[in-house]
Parts: sequence; structure tokens; C-alpha cells
Amino acid sequence: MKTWFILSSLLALTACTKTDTLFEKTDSKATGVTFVNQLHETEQENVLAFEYFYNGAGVAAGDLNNDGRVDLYFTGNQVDNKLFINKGNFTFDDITVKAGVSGRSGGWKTGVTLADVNADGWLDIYVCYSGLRSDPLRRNQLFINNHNLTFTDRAAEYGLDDAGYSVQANFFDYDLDGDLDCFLINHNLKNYQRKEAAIVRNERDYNAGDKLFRNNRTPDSSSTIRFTDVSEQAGIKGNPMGFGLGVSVSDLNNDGYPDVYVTNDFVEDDYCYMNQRNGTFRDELRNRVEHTSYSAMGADVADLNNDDRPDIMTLDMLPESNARQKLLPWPDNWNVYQAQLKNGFWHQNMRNMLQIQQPNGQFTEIGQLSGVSGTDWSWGVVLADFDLDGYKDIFVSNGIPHDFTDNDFIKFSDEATSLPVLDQIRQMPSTPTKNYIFRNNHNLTFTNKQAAWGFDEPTISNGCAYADLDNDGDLEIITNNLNEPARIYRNKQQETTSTDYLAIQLKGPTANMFGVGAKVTVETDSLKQVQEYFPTRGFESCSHGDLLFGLGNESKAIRVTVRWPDGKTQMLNNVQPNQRLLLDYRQARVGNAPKAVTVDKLLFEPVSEIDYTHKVDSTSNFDGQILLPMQYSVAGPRMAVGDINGDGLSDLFICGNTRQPGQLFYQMPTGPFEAKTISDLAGKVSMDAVLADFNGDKQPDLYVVNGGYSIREDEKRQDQLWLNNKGIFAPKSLPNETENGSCVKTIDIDRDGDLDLFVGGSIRSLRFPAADESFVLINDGKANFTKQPLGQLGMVSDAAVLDIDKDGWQDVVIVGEWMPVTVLLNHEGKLSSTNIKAYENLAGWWNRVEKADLDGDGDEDLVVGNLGLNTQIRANEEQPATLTYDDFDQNGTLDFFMSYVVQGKTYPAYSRDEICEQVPSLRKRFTTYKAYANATIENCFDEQQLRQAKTKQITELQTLVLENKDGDFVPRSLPLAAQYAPVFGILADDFDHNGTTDLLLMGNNSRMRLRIGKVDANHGLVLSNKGKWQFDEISSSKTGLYVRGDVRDVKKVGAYVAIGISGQNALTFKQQGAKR
Amino acid sequence: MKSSLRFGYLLALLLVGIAGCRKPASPAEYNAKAANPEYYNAALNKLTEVIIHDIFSPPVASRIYSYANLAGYEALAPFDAQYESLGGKLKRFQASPKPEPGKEYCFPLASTRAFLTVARALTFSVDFYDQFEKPFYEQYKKDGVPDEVYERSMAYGESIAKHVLDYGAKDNYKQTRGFKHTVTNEEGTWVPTPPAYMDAAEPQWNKIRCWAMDTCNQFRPPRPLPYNLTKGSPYEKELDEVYQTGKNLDKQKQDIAYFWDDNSFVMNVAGHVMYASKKMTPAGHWLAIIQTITKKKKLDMMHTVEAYALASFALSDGFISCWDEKYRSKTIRPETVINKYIDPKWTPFLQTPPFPEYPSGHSVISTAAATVLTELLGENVAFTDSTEFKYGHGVRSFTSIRQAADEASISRMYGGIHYRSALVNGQIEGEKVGKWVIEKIHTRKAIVANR
Repeated sequence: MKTWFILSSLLALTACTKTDTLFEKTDSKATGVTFVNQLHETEQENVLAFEYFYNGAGVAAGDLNNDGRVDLYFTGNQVDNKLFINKGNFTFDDITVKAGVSGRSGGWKTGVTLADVNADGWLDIYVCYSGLRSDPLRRNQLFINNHNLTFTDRAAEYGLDDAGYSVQANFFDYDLDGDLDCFLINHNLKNYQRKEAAIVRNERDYNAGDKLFRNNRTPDSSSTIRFTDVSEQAGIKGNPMGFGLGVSVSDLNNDGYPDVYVTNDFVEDDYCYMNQRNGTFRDELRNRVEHTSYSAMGADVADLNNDDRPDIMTLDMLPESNARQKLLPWPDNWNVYQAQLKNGFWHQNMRNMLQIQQPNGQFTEIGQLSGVSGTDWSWGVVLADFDLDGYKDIFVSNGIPHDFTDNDFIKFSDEATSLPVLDQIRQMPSTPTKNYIFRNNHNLTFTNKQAAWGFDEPTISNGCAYADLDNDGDLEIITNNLNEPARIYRNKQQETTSTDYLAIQLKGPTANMFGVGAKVTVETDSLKQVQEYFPTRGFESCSHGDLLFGLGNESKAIRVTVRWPDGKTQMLNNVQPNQRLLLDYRQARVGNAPKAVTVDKLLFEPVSEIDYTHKVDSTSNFDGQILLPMQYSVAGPRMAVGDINGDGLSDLFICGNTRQPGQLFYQMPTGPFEAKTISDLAGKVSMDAVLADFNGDKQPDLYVVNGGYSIREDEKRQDQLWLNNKGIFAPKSLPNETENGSCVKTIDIDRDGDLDLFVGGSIRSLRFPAADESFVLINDGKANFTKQPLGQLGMVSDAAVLDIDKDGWQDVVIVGEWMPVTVLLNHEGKLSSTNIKAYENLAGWWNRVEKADLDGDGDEDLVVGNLGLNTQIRANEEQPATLTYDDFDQNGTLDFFMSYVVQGKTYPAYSRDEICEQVPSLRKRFTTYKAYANATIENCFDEQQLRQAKTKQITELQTLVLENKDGDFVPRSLPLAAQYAPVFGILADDFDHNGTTDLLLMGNNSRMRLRIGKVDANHGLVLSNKGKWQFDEISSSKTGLYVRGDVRDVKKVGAYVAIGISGQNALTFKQQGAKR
Repeated sequence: MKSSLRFGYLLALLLVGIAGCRKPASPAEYNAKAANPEYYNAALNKLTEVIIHDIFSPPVASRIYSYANLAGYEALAPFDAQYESLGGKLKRFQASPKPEPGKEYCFPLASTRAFLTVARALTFSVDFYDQFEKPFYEQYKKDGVPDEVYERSMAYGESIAKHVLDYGAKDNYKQTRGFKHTVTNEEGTWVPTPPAYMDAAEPQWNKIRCWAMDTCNQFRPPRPLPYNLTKGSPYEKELDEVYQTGKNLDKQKQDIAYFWDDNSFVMNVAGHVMYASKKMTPAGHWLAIIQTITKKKKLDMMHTVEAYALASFALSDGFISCWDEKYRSKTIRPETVINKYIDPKWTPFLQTPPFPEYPSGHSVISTAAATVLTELLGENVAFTDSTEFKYGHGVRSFTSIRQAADEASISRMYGGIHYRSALVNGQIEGEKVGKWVIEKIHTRKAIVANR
């Protein structure tokens, strides 16, 4: 057998031109798989009349004649479906006509699913119908296998001849009664994108709504199978806004009951149906997923990081290249987005989403960090281990025949609209794109392998599936293409580098003989992989072959465990690799009840000590500065800690804003903190505060930095000081200042024994990226301060005080947006803007800096919180992100243009409409979107203009630790999880009580430009310090921290950790082992 | 240098040669030909084409028309002793450069040159003009304008254009770019509307310098009806009227609504598929109507350009006045309220344009224009308007200019995009603007104008 394979593959190799890609496209003439999903556009039926005209059709891979080889079935929208029987050696026979499975003539075929619906051990074929066709032509078909390569449509008999606009069915056993039920996704024809349409959410639409059909089979009535529509009673939504394009089944929460994830195109939310174990589902999308794709298309669910928790990937249409990002619409309208939220829809953004499941069953979206967020107009995604290294890779099919959203076509094809429809369509630009394949880097990042793995060719692919077509232990990829032959990409992994694998064939119980829903775990010395047998994957497609596990070179001591849908399990030890292993349900035993997971005491125990809700104004800063990177007027809450009343318990001050003045919270010996107001703070936006003794009475006084991006009145930005007399605060005057300050730190600059102050200047109000002044306040010992201005040091966001050069005089390190980490060196009691050391290699989008001795060498190192890597923005020293600004059109407003690198070149981060709105004369330069599509900032302005303009840059985006070494800072990297989101809260302490200082990093930002994204993947990251600058992430199941939202400060208050969150309740946790 | 000299010499020889074949035309002869209003009309129509292509919002389009027609007028005024510059009449506009005394000019050419120079400067797709201008200016030569006069007239037109553009540069247009309207989401206030949910157009338009008006709020209409959904409240009644009218729209009302749509940018959305329908703005439509009537009445170029110019100012002031109130009252569109509280599936017959509801822009500006035009062209001037035909909007006949404006106004209710008080109060506001323009902006010298 094996020799035969080697021979045949050698033959095949010599027959083809030799390439060294992982996959090799086969020749349809040689394989006999000549299927073409040929579209014929007519005056009546075209993309203008039917918006899903280009959605294409599916492919199903499965063994239809039980001969051990995987056969292929393709659906055709207008052409006949085709069944190809695998004859081995990559040759196939078209037996469609004889088999009677070409589909209904005149019907518009879409998705295909293989399932043994009548439980006779032979796969049947379920075909979905949609299109601008009459109801009878839209009835879905169920081709029951007659065991002799002929099939009979029994859909009506079985109650599955639904006439909605169907996309895909998924057969699985939702109620664990042993048989396969059917979940069907449908779509609407009509334009239900009106965001006010939320009101129709509870309606049911026969044609558009999704449906769940229960299989009523009883053991003694196997010949008369009937399905009943139980959608309504099961809690399945069926409203007319449904545009279901993907339906994935997985036991997401590992409770033994399969759950369902449905992707919806357009404005309707995705659904995350959690099985309630009583025959009903509940959509828990919002509890589990913080944002989704907007025009969600295909999806797949599988465990990508081998942590035994299924992850979700959903597709959208964000192009990877700058030019196509500029030519096609990429929504970034804050007001529209807010309207969508207000009308009850969830956060949605136009890009692929990679949702990584966390221990508590919620998902963390890191598609941008992972490098998989933009794969153009994408249809199907399959997650499978193509290089057999034990980690699942990602394949994405994409392409659209005409860019009907091309901005130039929409706006400037003046003549086209008067043409006959077909000519109009012909005038739409056409840009075939390449399918994407990504290799799993084993750390939740992925590398684009389009070229190296053999997909370096433009094509239009819709449905996609994988299967080991030559039974050699690796997975082929099959795509259903528009207007060209379907493709089989042959995997050459085994031919080139023989790699250990294990193929699993399942033999399930009576009514589910293929074992759908079984979960197989394969463990080797270092790897534990899990796959669930839910074969409906990709887009409109089905991969019904064996479960294939790549083992890399880790084939020692293989243990295989299977859990069948009814909970029975079987474990096999010392399994030999490189075989097709049959797992038979009949050998399984009633499994032990899953061991109760013993949870150690959590590092942080949630308590509710502080009753505080941060309030946020809904104004949009983008209305005044339309190119602003984020909303700056929503700031804080930052906090200050000190024992105000001298009772030995730390108290807290929480900064306020125009909606709520700052507040004091006194820690009580028992019970929650007591809130107290403070005079004179109303109407001010307080950016930071410090509690410290300024008049030498040993009682902490309160200094508050006032500012605010949208505060126009100078006097409201005046900082304030209160002197503390036994808990009573009395205002004390300060030198006049009107800066939008961001931070305050105490420092004894002149070594006179009292505390002076450093106040950082941030963005000038309403004038991004102009900066306000930073200054120091020198204390005479009695809290009489003298101001010493330091000038504009940049958009400073935070500062830390330490003696970096160990000269006995305390220095100040400042960080900020679009500026380097900068040290203000204290020269014998003087700070000045000229005596500085700027780390240009550490120019970042810094939000915070905190000091801590992380290597135990007695000096203080720094932790610097940056933007992170989970946005579209990329920057390094060679290709920094830039901010070019000037009043280019001399109208009194600053015009600024952020640019960052996209595929190796730096382009402005704005659409043509946006830059032209900012500087209208650019409309003359860029009369079309095409003219702007490849423009860099150098193409936007003349050399002279750019010479006069100012520039800021970013060379580092990662949150880092900076080792204090010989008077210098040496950057040290942190685990990737530290880059999941912008960091705004840093707390250093020995959380795990092992003698080293650990880190708690928190942050997120949901108020960035939509194209930068709602970055929300930090849920409280605890990094255990392992010494030698090694930090390990501690799982949230051990820390007990899982915080959603935009955290803006984290402070230790005695034994508690207080967390300030923008627009949400403040949270308090009791720190394990900490003293009050 | 040398070759261009030689070329010029050859060209001159050639021209002399051509001229030699004919008797040189006298100033009276060539000016009579060059003063064919069709030339000016052609230039105006070209501008309209570019405005449509470039997608200017209605207020911005009115601004462009006003400056172009002001330039066209100023360069033509010296042609007719009865007319004079608008310097000192339009707000902060100073008298234009005068032609050199004793020199021969073809003012009709200077006029179109001034018009097109301004049009080119204020619009974007200049290649449209590149193609148009070569044969266009050739006509004047064929009409016998001597080279020297041609050059002098062109230069004069350009100097007028520069004067007008300098004036235009100080109208705050530049300063009002790059701002969006802040959607407050308060009950009854405007929010973006389907299907494209575009940002509100020109939220700062009241900062634009007025033309004839003293201030943007000089003709401020009464407050809109207070938002109140209680059955039987004045607002609710008007809301219901829009809803019912929309539900029972007969063919004739549909025709009227569609004819006056004048939405420069209608986004047709079907799923991901989108395409825009573009057509004349309200200002462009009214200038086209002037073209129809002046042609029918066989008015000469001076009268035609006068009508264009004064109507443009009325339209522009109308927009400023109207926009001032729109962003003061920020009234919610009927579509939003009906979808939210009455019928989620109701769509207005016309696509709701992207700005607050009150008052109706078409009511204000159409009535302002009609008021000026009735004064200039007469009452009860019947005409048939086929200018919208090429945009697929049919042909309609009117017994008077005012009747057309009245129909434009009511069409917005039929279209489902305005409440009745926005029409009624808008028309009153527009009439005041129109009357003010007539009163303030005298084109003809005092004795003549004093009729």
C-alpha cells in the first residue's frame, strides 16, 4: 500500500513541473475534476438585482461510496452540481448524471453538507437553494444515498425541503438524543441594513430567518425519519435582518453539549448560541465576545493554541494592501457607529476577527496582532494543520468578480448609470486576489505563506474544504471557484518531509455512525491537540474526511482519547503514528465525571469596597478634528492613594470630570470605603492627582492636575491644591497656569527636604498634536510654590521620578504619545528642557510609565505602557509611523496626517474623503480615489510645504520593561499578551509571593478611530517575574482577574487593588496575602 | 524662445492670412455675435456638469455659482452703460478693475473668461474645462474678435476673476472646512439617515459671509414645532401627515416629488452593492430654469447674466439663512421618527438628504430665487421645464415662476423628507431673502433702476 503511494506520488511529481511549495495546484484535466461554477449574468439576474450573485457555491469532501477514499461534490449556482468519485492517484470520475445529484434544474444552488441523515452508514448530500427564483425552485434537497452511487431526493419526505433563501445546513446532535439534527442558515434578499430596523429583531421571517430542525427519529422508527422546525421554542432567532453566511458548531464551553456560532453579514449581530442543555439555546454573544466582524462571512471554530478551548475566526472584507484599502470603502464614521450601538447592535468592525477563548469562556480578539485581520473579500476559512507540526493553520478563500464597492465606480462612473445593466456591471473594476494561507507560529501569531505554500496566484474562490485525498497523511485543499475550474491543491508535506501523523476514523453509535460531535484528543510528550468532529466548515462547504493530527517529530508515547457525544470515552495509550486509527463507539465506556478542577486560592478576590461609577460624555472629538486618532476628551479615571486621616488605612482620591467632580474615598476598618466630596472641583476635568505632604505637617495634601482636551476655558484648566488638616481640606493657591496637564509627580528637585512637583503637559486643548507646556513647581517648604516652565516637551502622558545617573539628584522620565522616552536630567537642583536624554529608538504611543526594581539590583527599572500590537498600526526604527503636521491650507487649524507602514511602505492612514475634507485643495490633486490609492504623504504636499511642516514619529509600539543599567535604559521585551491592547494601568508587586516583583498590566481603548479599532483584548494581565527578565503570564483562572473595559488606572490601596475603568464601575479586588 | 517667436510669427501670418480673406469685423459686428447668450449658457452648463461630477453639496454649489456669475457679470457690466459694478453693494465687495479707457474690448468674451476662470478655480475636475475651452474660445475668433482685442478681453476677464476669487477667499469657506456636526442623540434632534448614514452637510455654513443679507439670521424663521409624539400634538399631526402622504402617494405627487428631488448625491444601496445617482443641485436647477425662460423670452446676454447673478445671490443667501436655522433647531427627519415609532419599514419616496430638517432648503431657496426672478422676468411667465429630463426626471409646465417654487416646496412633503411647517415657514423666509436681494443689489444705474 505504502509503496504504491510513494510510486504514485513520484509519478505525479515527475509529471508536474517541480516546485518547492507545500501545496501544488493540480491540473483539472489530469484529475478529471473539471467543475466550473460558471456564472451567466443576465438583465434579470445579476449582482445589481441579487446582491449575493457573486457569493459562489460550495464543495463537500467525503467518502460517498465507503471505499476508503474521499470523493468530491461541488455545487454550482446556475450550472449543475457535480459528483466526482475518487479513483485514487488524484484521478476522479464524474458520475453526476448516473448518481442523480446534479440538483434541480433552474435552481440557484449554494451550500452543501454531507451527513448520514438516515443513519444507514452511508453519507447523504444536503444541498441548499437561494437566488431570485420562485419558491418551488428554492426548496432544499436531501439526496439520500442508495448505497450504489445513486441517490434519491427525499427532502420533502424528511421535512427538510425548506424554501427560504438558504446558505448552509449543519447536521449535529444538539439535544444529545443520539441522532443528527439540522441547523439551517438563511439570508434575506431585501435591504435590511437600516439601523433603525432593530425593531424587527423579534420578528420571524420564513425566508430569511435561521432554523433549527429537530430529528424525531426514534430507535424503532428509523425508516420514517421526520424533522420538525423547533426554532422558536429552541430560542433560535429568525428575524428578517438575518444574513447568515457561516454556521459553525462546537462545544465551546466544554459541557458536552454542542453550541452554535452564526456569522451574519451586514448590520445584524453574529449569534453565539450556547446550548442550555434543555433543548434550547441562548445567544450569549455579548457576554462572551467584545466585538465582531461587520460584514461577517464564513467562520470556523477550532483550537488554535492547543489549550483545549475552541477559538473562533470570522471573515470580513478588509484588504491587506494599502491601495485596495483606499479604493474600496473602509468605514470609519464614529457617528454612524454610535447610531448602530444606540439602535441595539453590537460592536462590529470591518476586518477578520480572531477570537481566542479564555479560561472563563469569554473570547479575546487579537486578529490584528496575529496578522490575519485583512484577507480582502473573504468567503471561507478552515483551521487545520496543513504542515503537520501539531498546530492548526489558517486557509482563507477570497475573491469577487467585480469590485462593485469601488469608490470611483460608486461616485464617478457618471456615464455607467445610464448604461444597460450588464454594461454597467462590465464597467465595474475587477481585481482578482490571492487566497490566503497562514502558518501557525505556535504563539497565536501567524505568518502569511501565500507564496511559500503555493497560493501565489489570483483567483476567485468561494467554497473551500480540506481532506486527505490520497490517504498519505496530509490534507489537500479544495476550492470551488467562480468562472474557472475548481481547484485541488495537493499537499506535498509527506512527499517532501515525511512527517508523523495520525488519522482518526470514527465509528459512532447507531443513529450517528460517523460520530459527528466526537471530540478527539491526541497527546504526545509536549503537545496536546484537540479536534471536534463537526465536519461542516468553511463557507457553504463540508470537510467530512478523517480527523488528521500532525505530530511533528513528537511521535513518542502517543495517547488518544475520544469523547463521544453521549459522554462515553475511550483512551488508547502508546498508539503508533502514521496510521488510520479506527475509534469505535462500542469500545467506549461511560466516562468518569470530569474531575472538579481544584482551583488554588485566586491571587485577586473580587470585593466591592468602592462604590463609584465613572461617567462619560458622549461628545465626539472627531467632529472638531476629523483626523484625530482617538477620542481624547474621555479621560481617566486616574487615582491617588494616601492615608488622609492618619488612621493607618490608605485612602483614595478618584479624579473627576465635568459630569462628576473628583471624590475622596476613606478606607474604613470594616465595610466599604466612605465617599466624600471636595470643594471647588465641579466643572473641571482632572487628569491626575497626588496625595503627599507639601507643608511639612506629615498629613498628605492633595494636588490635582486639571485640563481636558475639550475644555476651552483657560481658568478651568488651572491646577488646584488643598492642604490637609486632620482630614479637612482647605484650598491653597497655586501659580497661574492654563496647561492641559496629564500627570503630576512629587520630586525633591533641589534636595531641600520638601516635595516639589513635576506636572506634564499633554495635548493642547482642541489642537492635537500641539503640546502644552510641562513645568515644575518649587516648594518653599510651606506649600508656597514657584513655577518653573519647561516648555513643550511633547504630548506627555506620564512621568516617573528616579535618579538615573545616580548623582544624588532625582531625575524625571517622561513618556507620551508620538514621543521618545525622555529623561530630564536634574543638574544640581535644576530641570530644564535642554538637559535631556531622549531615546529615539523608544519613540512610542506611550500611555504610562511606572518604576519598580525588577531585577533586584537595588535600582529602579521602568515599565512603559504602549499602544501594543493589536491595531493596524505598525512601526519600527527602520519604518517609523509618522505624524506630519502644519496648517497646510492656512485656515487657522492644524492639519495632521498620521502614516504607518502597510506591506513595506508608509502611507497616510486616511481615506481620500477624509484628507480632502481636512484640506479641500487636495481634491484637485486627487480627483479620483485611484489617484490617491498609492499616494504617500510626499504626494500630498509640495517639498517646500513638507520642509516647513513638523513631524513626530513612533519607532516602538510594544509595552516594555526598561532595565536601569549603568545609568542607561535597556529595553526588555514582555510576553506577547502584553501587546494585546494599549496599557494604561501598571502595578508592580510580588503577587505570587515568590520574592520577585511581578507586574499587573491593564488598559484597552474602545475610543480609537474605527479603522485603528476597538482594542479590548487586555483583561488584566499578570506577569510573574521569573528573573533574568523572563516574565510568564499567569492564567486568569489563577489570578481571578478578568476585567472588560477601558481601564485607566490601577492602584494598590492597602490590601486592595483598585481599578478605575472609563465609563464603568470602579472595581476592587483583595490581593491574596497582602496586608492592609 | 526663438522657436516660440518663430511660431508666433507664423501664427500671426496665418491669422493675417485668414483675416485677409475676410473684411475685418467691426466692434459692433463681433460684439453682437459674441454677445450671444448661448455662449454664456454653454459655460454655465459646463460648470453644472463639473459640479455634478465633483459632488458638491447644495450650499457649496450655490457658492460656486454665485462667484462664477458675479465674475461673469462684473466683466460684462462695462458693456452696457445702464449697468454697473456690484462693488459696495454685495457685502464687502469692492468695485472690480475697470477696463482701460479708450481701448477696444469684447466684454462678452471677458465675461465668459471671467466666469470660466472662477469656475475652474472653485471646482476640482479641471480636465472637463480643458476639453471644453479650446473650441469654446475659438468661437470668438470666428466671430471676428481681433487678436489684440481677444487677448485684452481675456486678460480683462482674468483680472475680474482674480478680483472675485480674492473676494471669495475671505468668505470663511476655508475656515469652515474639517468640522462635523456633533450628533447629540437628544430626543427629537437630527441623527444620520438611511441608507448611507452620511454626516450632516455643512454644519458651519452660517459662518459663510452673506451676499446681500446683513447677517445669517436676519430672516430667521419661527421656532419649529416642539417635538412631541403625543397624539394630536401639532408636531404629531405634521408627522402623521408626512406618513400618510407617503403611504398614499399618487402618480402625480410622485412625479412632482421626483422632479424636484435635486439631490446631488443619491446613494443606491443594495447590500454591498452601491452606486450613486447624481444630478443638479437646487441651485443648478434654478439656473437651468433661468436659461429656459431667458431663451424663451429671447433676452440679451446682459439681461441673462443679470438674472443668473441676482438669482445666484438669492440662492446663496437662501442657503446661508436656511442652514443657520437648520443647525440651530437640529430637527429630526420624519423618516427617523416614523421608523422608530410608527413603521420600521417605511421609507420616504425621496432619499432623505443628509442635514437637519427645518426649514426646507428647497422651499427657502426656490422662493428666494422665484422672488428675484419674478421681479426681473415678470409675473405669470409660463414655461416648460425640461432641464431635469436628462437626469431622468421628466418635464413639467408652470404658469408662473412662483408656481414652480410653490411646487418645489410642496414636493418635499410628497417626498417624505419634510414636515409642512418647514415648507410654509421656509417659503416665507425665502421670500424675505429674495425681496432683500432686490432691494439691496442694484445692477442697473440709479436712474434706470428707479422705475
